[in-house]
Amino acid sequence: MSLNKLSAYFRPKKLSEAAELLKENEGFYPMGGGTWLIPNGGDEIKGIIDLSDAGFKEIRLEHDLLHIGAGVTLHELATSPETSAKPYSTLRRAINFRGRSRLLLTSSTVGGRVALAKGDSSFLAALVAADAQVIIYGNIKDDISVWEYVTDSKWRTNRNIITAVEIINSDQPPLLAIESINYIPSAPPVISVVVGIEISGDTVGNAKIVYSSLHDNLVRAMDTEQLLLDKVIDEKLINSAAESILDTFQPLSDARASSTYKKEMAAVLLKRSLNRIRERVG
Amino acid sequence: MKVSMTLNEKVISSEIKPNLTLLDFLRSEGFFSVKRGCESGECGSCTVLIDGIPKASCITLTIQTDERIVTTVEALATREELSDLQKRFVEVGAIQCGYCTPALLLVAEHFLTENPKPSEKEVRDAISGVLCRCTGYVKPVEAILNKE
Repeated sequence: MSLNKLSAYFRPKKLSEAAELLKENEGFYPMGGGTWLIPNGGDEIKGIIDLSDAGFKEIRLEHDLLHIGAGVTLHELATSPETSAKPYSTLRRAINFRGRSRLLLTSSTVGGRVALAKGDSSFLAALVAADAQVIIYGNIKDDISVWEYVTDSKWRTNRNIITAVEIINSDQPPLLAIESINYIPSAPPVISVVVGIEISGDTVGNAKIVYSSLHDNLVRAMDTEQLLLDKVIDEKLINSAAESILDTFQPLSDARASSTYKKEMAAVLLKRSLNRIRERVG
Repeated sequence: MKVSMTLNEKVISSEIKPNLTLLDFLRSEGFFSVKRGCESGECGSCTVLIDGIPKASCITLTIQTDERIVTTVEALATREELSDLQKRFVEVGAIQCGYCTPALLLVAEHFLTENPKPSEKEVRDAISGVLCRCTGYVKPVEAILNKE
């Protein structure tokens, strides 16, 4: 049994109450769906602030913004009308790549997934590629991208409560493509990549290439992103990009695939993603 | 810590340890239909309905169900008669070792209330959270699809 030192549990109805409890009590942790915290939580957890009644369960699509409340479950997001069409259908596909166990998806929350910042989450990779922002309760001065959140541990403390994730639509929203290798549908992918490309004129204006399941954390192929900038996506560029990936990472070997296999697949999946984006650019 | 819940239409209160999972609590109360499997929410054997929604009881703390409604498979049948879906499982032969059957029944009952005329693909998706290593899902899917 985990959570051996747990002695307090609160289910506040207001965020301010939750924030106050976290501020005043050492060893108290916020909980979304609890799918990670309950089976894996250790002795550092003295109290749980269950956020399930605290609201922020709204999915709202405005003309320039997709707002996803942190309390929205992955199942709700994957079946909502707001994620039925491009570019947000990529989020839906990424959620399903995470594993098709509907039971877990009905409990896991968007806020929880972001807070965990796990390197095997293709959903998180899709949020990074879509340039999503994390909204933290009480923080009004900083714009925090999901990428900053997962790579900078200063944000990931048990004092912070994520209230939402937002994706701002520009006039030219990024073209997103996701590719993945899964052995079984109920487990995280062996490797997946999400590519987000903003086209400016005929050339690449901005690029994000985000891999999951290569390391403990998500990784971005920043050199390859740079290589794509200001160029037309053609076969030659796609081949160069895929070749550059081979020198970029040293993936971890695990029970499901060797480092060499993952490295080669990283290049193959990038090629497939860029080809799909190229077809859409026309 | 005190917890009060409606368990199979009966209001109960109990003193519990804060880290007691719902799975352990229910089994200690004699609800052995709630099966212990992976204890990480992956296999679905411990599924119960909380406020009508299927949840893995192994990754739910008992205290989380305070003032909630919890339903196990024992509530589906009356003392005299099985539910329609249970009858279909028996008629079709959707039960082999039986370990996952309570979870499949609860997930399917919930799903059919939301979607009374599902396709096979929808049924397979709905029960994807419950692992069955005997049936290959063929008979359970048949039973769920044929529910009148």
